[in-house]
Amino acid sequence: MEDKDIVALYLDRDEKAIYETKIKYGHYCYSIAYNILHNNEDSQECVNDTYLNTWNTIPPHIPNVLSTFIGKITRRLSIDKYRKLYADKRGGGEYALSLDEIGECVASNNNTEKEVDEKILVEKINYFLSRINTNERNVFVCRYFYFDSIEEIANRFNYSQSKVKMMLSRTRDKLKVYLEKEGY
Amino acid sequence: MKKEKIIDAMNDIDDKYIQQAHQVQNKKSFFSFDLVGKLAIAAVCLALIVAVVPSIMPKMGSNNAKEEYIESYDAVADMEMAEENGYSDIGSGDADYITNATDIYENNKKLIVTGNLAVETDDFDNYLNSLKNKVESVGGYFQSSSIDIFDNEQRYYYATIRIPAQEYNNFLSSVKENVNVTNYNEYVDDITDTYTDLKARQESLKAEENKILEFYDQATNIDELMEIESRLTDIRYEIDYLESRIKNYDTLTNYSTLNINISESKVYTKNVNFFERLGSQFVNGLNNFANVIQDILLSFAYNFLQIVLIVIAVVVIIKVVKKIINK
Repeated sequence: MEDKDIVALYLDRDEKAIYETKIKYGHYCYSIAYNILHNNEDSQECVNDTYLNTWNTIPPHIPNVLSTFIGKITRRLSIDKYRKLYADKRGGGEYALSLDEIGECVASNNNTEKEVDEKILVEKINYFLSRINTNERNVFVCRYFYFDSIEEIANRFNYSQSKVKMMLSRTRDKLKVYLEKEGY
Repeated sequence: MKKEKIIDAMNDIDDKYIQQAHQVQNKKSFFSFDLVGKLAIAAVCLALIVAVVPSIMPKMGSNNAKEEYIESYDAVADMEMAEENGYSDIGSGDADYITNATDIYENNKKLIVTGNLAVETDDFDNYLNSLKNKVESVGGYFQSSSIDIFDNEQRYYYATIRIPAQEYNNFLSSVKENVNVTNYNEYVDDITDTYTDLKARQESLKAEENKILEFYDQATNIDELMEIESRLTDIRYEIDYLESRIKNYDTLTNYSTLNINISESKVYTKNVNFFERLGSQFVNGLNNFANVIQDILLSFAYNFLQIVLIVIAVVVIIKVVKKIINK
């Protein structure tokens, strides 16, 4: 079923919308959740919560691209669950590794809890992503949005793992320079 | 800033970046199959060699990597997906292939145009002044700007400029005059369908609101009134929400965005002497050579199976021909 037809079912409050979403995006949502949580039960719980969230959000919100809309909900729910499960201690998996990597982009001399306007940070990151080339951006998004492993990214792009690591490292360096220039 | 903030911010990046990455995720490469899958694919390829060799052989002579990419199914799928989503990603240096924003605007399509331009100039101050004058003259404005000076060397200027959509094309041509354009790319988000859907939905809701108001007058008891009120509230909330989205899209489409990066091409030689520059160029050359070797090896690895299959096909053909000749 086309995305616009699924959205129409949500707008009509037809419960078939959830069924169709599950058919089309169930696996997609599960893979996002599993990359973060590495646990079948927790991942499935997040996916089910995604369906509920989507049902409660459409309407009034009408997504432009249903797949990314749903993917973002799953990602957010999975990250929240991960943080609750592991609180101060470090959990395993690609999320923890990605978090350590992205920590390089935070200025090392920044010891204060500077108030960060999240909307502006998103704008900065969007601008940064628009400035780098397509392959670098796709690799960066696969790693830090989808939390794909280095091996998975290397297979998808037909790169060696060392090339993927190098690309990510360079992109993080560029992001760090850019964020420092912007005062973060 | 906590690193978690960046991870959280990644959740709200533009949908198009997430979609592009997801498209790559959906492509199955040979190396992502398990061993049984790989053997099955290899067996099928071998069986097809005799039938398809004549069509494969001419492609060996093609040195144009761009043509080979365009001929592949994945490239066609990318282009179809890009057209469907209204993306127009123009490569760097391809300065003459510019979407005509003026024509598009006149066709009543709703397009969000975002351009990224990088130029270098040896007349930094005058170029900057003329840029500001040009922006003012077309009725545009600077959304943000900053300037960096690195160790008394080159100066860099970054700005995000909003230009009235119908003026964008001419403005872009004018800012590219008398400078060296090092990169230009443009994204065009076609939101016409979404915009039309929003308008249609809003009209439909307004019609529903009018109908419900008729029932409101006919309601006979408090329960009916409460139910109608509740529905009216929901509808009005949604109408207001749609109105704000429509206005937001109007703002985004009435003005196109140009992110410009200006670098000063003349390096101040006060602190950098010739031998330091020579050394730096030598190191850059070595890095570049290493990247070239790496790309060649990766290209060989990527095409390894095709090369093996073609070699096998050639050997088989030679043996068959020899047999025929000997007979």
